Amino acid sequence: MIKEGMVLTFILELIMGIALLVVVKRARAGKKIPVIHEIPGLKALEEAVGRATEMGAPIMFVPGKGDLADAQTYAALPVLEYVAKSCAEYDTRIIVPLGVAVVYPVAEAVTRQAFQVSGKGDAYRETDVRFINEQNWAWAAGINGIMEREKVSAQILFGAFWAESLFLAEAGNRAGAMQIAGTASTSQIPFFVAACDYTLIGQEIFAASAYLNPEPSTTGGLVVQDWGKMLGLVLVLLGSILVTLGSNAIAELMLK
Amino acid sequence: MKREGPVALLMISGFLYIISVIVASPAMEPVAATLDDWYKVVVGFINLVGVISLTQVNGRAVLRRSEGWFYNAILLVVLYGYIILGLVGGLHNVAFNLIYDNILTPILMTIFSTLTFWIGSAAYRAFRAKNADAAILLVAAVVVMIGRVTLGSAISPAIPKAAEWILNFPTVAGMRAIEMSAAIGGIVLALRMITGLERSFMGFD
Repeated sequence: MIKEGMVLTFILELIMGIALLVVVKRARAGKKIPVIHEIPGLKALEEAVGRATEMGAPIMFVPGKGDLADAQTYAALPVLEYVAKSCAEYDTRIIVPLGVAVVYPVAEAVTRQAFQVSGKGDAYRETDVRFINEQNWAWAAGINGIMEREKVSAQILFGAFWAESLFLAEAGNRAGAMQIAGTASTSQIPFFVAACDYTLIGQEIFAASAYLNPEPSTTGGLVVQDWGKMLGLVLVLLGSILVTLGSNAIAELMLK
Repeated sequence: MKREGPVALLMISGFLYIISVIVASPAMEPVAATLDDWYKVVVGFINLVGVISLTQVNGRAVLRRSEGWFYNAILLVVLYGYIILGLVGGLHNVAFNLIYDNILTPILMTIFSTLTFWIGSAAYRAFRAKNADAAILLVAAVVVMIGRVTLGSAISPAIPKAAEWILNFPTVAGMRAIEMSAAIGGIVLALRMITGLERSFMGFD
């Protein structure tokens, strides 16, 4: 019935799915759930908007090069929503250059909605959420050009990135922009750490939604995410011990 | 209905996709492939939206004679010119491929090659031994860099071995930890989406 190699995946997803619904239900009922620890990079988003407001310069939000089949893109959208709302509240311009056409209407809807929710629907400029190019170097060059022309005060890079990550981050650094990055693309994390003021690493970008919008569904998700990590850690430790003792039980379970 | 419709559609297709990936059933076999095909069709269609966005932004700049409007005009001419060339001459059109291979590709590779210099400036900042963490990073980077070239083995045969060890153990361990935790984060996000708990990406809360 279950495909080969999918038994453990099925069990883990089932456990996490049930845990998610239980934790969210508990949180909605007002029962205590763990406190979320602070992530400096997310706290710095306020500083970035404040800086842009003081300087009267725009903020650039780059939601990565992932498409809508990439979880990192979905992790970036609540952050875009939060930054766009803050920008709307403080009458600060936000520019969203996109490198994937399929993400464009989604990012446009999220940004527009953020302005409308803040009561600043009229201030939304539809040409500020713009599609640049699907080719990553043309997209990166386009962003670099906007950075130079518009004198962007802060650049927020969130989502999936490939080789263009350093190009974008160094261009921002050269322009003197405050930079906050977040990605789970492991090969690009070192570049962001080297070039940006704050970097969110790996799963921190999936925690962003809960931190910026603390409500039962988001905080509940974060709790389950941490439980999942602990479960993964237990499996790694157990597997290591069993392999040392000569048993491949965990590896065999994963292949079932 | 404007809100519930997309959420319901997402929940149904999400559950169907998961079931088709996990369950071994001939009836479920084509579901994931069909949904993938639908996605490709939607993506193909939405490229048109990208063209409209480019036309809006650059067309407005040309009409208002904004600073540098000439470049916006060039972009529009090239965009529509190349579309027409492809539509009229087909994908095997000599001019179509000549422009792609001899103009576009070299331009893109030129931008790519500037990365070398960006790496230099970023590495300079990252490797300044300002604190203990940066000092460890500096030492590890120097060992790896020297260990990967012949200079390393000329100095000492231990340096290439140390470089291999750094790459194969601490680096891989760190990367796998990040990948595993990110994968779990992705699974929870997907579960939140298909249970209708996450809706921010739809443009409404």
